[in-house]
Amino acid sequence: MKALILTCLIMTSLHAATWKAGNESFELSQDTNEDWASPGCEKKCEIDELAAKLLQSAPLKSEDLAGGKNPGSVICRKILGDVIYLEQGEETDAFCRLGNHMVSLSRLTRLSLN
Amino acid sequence: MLLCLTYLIPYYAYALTCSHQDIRNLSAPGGSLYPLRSTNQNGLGICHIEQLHKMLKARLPGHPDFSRIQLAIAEKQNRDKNLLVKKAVRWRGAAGIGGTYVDAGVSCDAFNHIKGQYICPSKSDRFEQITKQNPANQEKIIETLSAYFDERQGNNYLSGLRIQGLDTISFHLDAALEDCSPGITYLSGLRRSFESYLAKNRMSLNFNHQLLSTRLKNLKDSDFTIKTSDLESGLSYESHLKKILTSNPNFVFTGPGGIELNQQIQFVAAAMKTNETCVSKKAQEYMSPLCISSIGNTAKDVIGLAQLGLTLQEVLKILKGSWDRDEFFRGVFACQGLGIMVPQNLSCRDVDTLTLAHKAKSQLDYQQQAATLVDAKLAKGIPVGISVCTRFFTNPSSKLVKAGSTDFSCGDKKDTGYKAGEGSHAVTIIGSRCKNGQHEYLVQNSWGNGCFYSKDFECTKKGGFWAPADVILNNTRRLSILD
Repeated sequence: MKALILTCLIMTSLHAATWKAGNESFELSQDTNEDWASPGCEKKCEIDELAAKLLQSAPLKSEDLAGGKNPGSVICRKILGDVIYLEQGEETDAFCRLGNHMVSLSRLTRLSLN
Repeated sequence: MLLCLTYLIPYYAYALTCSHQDIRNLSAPGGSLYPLRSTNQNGLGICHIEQLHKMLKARLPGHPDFSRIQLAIAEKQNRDKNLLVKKAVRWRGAAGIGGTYVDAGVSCDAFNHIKGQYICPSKSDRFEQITKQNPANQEKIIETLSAYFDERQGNNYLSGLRIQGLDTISFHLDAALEDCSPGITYLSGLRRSFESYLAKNRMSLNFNHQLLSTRLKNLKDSDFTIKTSDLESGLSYESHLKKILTSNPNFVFTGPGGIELNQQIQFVAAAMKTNETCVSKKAQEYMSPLCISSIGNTAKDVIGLAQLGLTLQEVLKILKGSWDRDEFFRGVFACQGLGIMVPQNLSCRDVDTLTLAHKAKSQLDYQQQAATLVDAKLAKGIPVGISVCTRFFTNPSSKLVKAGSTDFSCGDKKDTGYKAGEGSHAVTIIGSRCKNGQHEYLVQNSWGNGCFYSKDFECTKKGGFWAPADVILNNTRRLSILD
């Protein structure tokens, strides 16, 4: 039982972390692709749904990505989300925040590439 | 068995094979790009700068790190001043073959316009400073920078907050660039801008100098309240400033929101008092159109925010309260006299892979020629910038560069393999290895740490990926090398 709890704790610590921006903290966990997501976004949330709708109705054009823009950031802005940077220890990553939800931009990039 | 061989032969006939076990990774300890942090330009549209950053870092003595943002702004400033580069920009923005969006070739153009200039070193990268802002401010900063880097988008937003962002960044860069020159302080850059402004606007401002010096001591935040209706009616900020300074005898400008404006006014007053500004040759020199007016910038800040229905007090609260803009940009762009000069003796050259492919006897011949060039540079610790079609990121079978042909149909909707959103993108080859008899390159991207490439590729934790050399070269439009 102890081993099970310990394993669970280790698993939890591997897949959840506190990311920071200035004095603000965000508890995020990793999804199956190792992208980070806020509670309620681990699998799918409003951001994914809006992004999917966007890509379906108005696929990204080359011009949208002028300058080699990260597709994830372009999608994030198109769905009226905010692109923000967070840090966790020495690691830095960028996220799309919409309302209370937040996901790694790479999740949106993946959506656009696949 | 025979069927299998028949299937495999065509594949391996095109694959770049290898037998050695050497691994070259310029981002590993001892490498010219060590330490390499993951890079994320996040919608700023500066992939060519991310590429140039790596190319340059590897070539500078001691391989120092430096600010990518400052490099990007320096490049943009110079690009805007230079017609030749504007031509390149037009090309880069043109739709069609090879020009769907920014191409690696632009990194050589960028290099040519920062050669001999000072760029800012980075204790921690300037991008990382953004992470230290709260999310609301980050969004503003990223939006502002994004508009600045994207002319087309910027032109669409030449109002409100965005235009103030452009001028603010220009101004701060102006100061920062001066700051990069040894012996010149940030303050001198700031002062020069004020002097320039004064030199240009002395007559129109028509201050009562004596009254001004008295009133400067007695300004209040409330005296700066400007009605949105005034702004909408076209009353300029300069006029407001004049009105405020000359009509209100009890002007006390204090509080956290007022520091910057107060400083400006102090500068103006000091310059007027000494009466040096408008007569000095220096001031005439600074009257060039490239000089930035700080008061003018602040005016645009104010107007932009006021258009959102805010009073000046609220504006100042935003500018100086929750987001210490001046301090932020000073931190971002100023180098505090520790600039790194981009060596004059380096030259950047582009290799057109389509020319190689056109003359090549076979696809393998083309691949081998291109790989020989890349490998020779990697062996010397030199990364190679490549302009690729993003199509191959998820489709390794993509082959846009073909022996005997000069076509490169990236971004061409008529092409059978077209994928929405695909286009040319500047990335960098920073390593090579031989894995299972297959020659592979390590490609560093600037889209963050995520792994969203083909499952055939192996992602690194720094936002790069290992992929077969032939797959990469089959989709590479150009090589850029800093010799």
